[in-house]
Amino acid sequence: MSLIHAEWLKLSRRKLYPATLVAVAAFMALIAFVTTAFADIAPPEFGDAFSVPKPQAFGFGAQQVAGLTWLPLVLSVAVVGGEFSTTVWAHSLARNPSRLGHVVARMVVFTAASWLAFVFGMAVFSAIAAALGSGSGSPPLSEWIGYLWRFAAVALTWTALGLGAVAMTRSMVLGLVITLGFSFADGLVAVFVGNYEAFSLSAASTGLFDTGITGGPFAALIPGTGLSMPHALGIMAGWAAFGFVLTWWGLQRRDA
Amino acid sequence: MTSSDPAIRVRGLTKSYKKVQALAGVDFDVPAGKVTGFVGPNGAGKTTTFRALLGLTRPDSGTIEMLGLPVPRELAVITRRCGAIIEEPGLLQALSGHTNMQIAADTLGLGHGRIQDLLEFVGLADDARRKVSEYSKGMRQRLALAAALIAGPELLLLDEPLDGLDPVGQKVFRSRLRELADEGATVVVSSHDMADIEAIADHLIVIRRGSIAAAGPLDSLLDGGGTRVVIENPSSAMEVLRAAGIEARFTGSELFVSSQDRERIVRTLGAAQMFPSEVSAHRSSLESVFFELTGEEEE
Repeated sequence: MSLIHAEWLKLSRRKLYPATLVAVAAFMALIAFVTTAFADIAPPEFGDAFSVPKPQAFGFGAQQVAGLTWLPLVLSVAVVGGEFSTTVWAHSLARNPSRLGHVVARMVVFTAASWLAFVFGMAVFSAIAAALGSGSGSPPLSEWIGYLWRFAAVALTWTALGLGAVAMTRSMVLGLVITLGFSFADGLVAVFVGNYEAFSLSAASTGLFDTGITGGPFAALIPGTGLSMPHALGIMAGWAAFGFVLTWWGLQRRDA
Repeated sequence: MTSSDPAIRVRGLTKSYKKVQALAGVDFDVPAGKVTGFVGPNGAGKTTTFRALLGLTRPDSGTIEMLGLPVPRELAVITRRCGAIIEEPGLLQALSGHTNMQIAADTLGLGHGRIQDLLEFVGLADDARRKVSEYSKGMRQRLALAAALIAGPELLLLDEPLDGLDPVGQKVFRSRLRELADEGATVVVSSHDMADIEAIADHLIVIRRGSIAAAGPLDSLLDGGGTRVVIENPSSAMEVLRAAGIEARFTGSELFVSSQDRERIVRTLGAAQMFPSEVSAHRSSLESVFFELTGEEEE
């Protein structure tokens, strides 16, 4: 537990985390406004603007939050990457030689921090959709609970990949370039290239959320909307395992 | 482990990085409860040795015991009884000194009760809430020392802790290390600065090109094995001693005599009506011993 507290101190006492929360809030507010409220106030020249009515809007919002895959990547790579390029990692091991303990603590903290940020983003989206969106009603409680564990699955998998990348590269900049590049390319390839969607982590991350939306310009640009839940979970488990293996191998193969 | 057992025992330690042999069969003991200087030129293997002691690098062969326990098998126990600074202070610059101390304590699984005392011990209590990025180099080194002391360690491994400190910072740091050793801690300080080590160490280990060139109590290593004589006419005195079969050389008004038999030296000179104002054991500087042992060129 104390290792987890140490990692939490490292994250929570920096400006990075509050800054990511602000970015998440701003982005989700914009998405909520454009997809739930804009159609009602749009000038006539916009024609029939796309709009997601309530209660589907909430599931759509959850899917958009889960698409913020950069968040666990930035948190894990930025905080841990700096440690590898200095002697901070060596000093951590000199105080507690359990590499597994350090990895688990980081996994727990960055997953939890990302999950909290997702929940925060969902809250912002939901507030705007509830206040300004068309339609009425809310998903049942079980659906809301479902959003929470799905957010956790997305946060865990992308955190594992982020830690794996930084353990392999030992560089914050290189880790960010590789992981954010992968995040962008993976989603893009899943939309436009043949059967890749069946393996894409971005597709699985959003595919966990069945919004029931099949029309409009957004559905075609969101990978994974047709994936079944077991398929999406299988993809995520595979990528998470890959991230763990990368992290473990990256920390073992080189001296601290 | 008894008090007479070494705090660290290293045998046959080897380590190669690709084609470079960093350690070529290193053997040494570090006596418990003393300050040991671990000196050598840059690239001699000091940091690699420290890293191997702490399990941060895997040696190719050899055995290490710290506090009577084998490394790496008992590292989990050893690291709770041992504090370390490895190369740089290893601090998170974006966080305050106090938060860095909290993280060090948490990583060891300890409470935060000693943090304030340690910050006072290293003179940083008033700056504890400032970010480490705003600290001077000396302040960072002192914070790193405080973090290394968080568990109240029996053994401190400090790799180049005085590097880059100004004279005042060095003096403060040295006095803190002396206090710790006087309280019974074993302190190992690596440095390539001989003045640092001579000022603080009781025991010395000299490493050169991955091998131990010398090890032992500082006084015995600095004992030049001869006698220093201050006399009015050293040139004539040298001739008198040489005539008596005693090898001698002089610099200025000082005569360096190879013999340690001071009574015979005084008697021989006295017979020639020459009376020295001072006769003492000849003590080499650590710097000259270092250059002699390592084969480095003096500038």
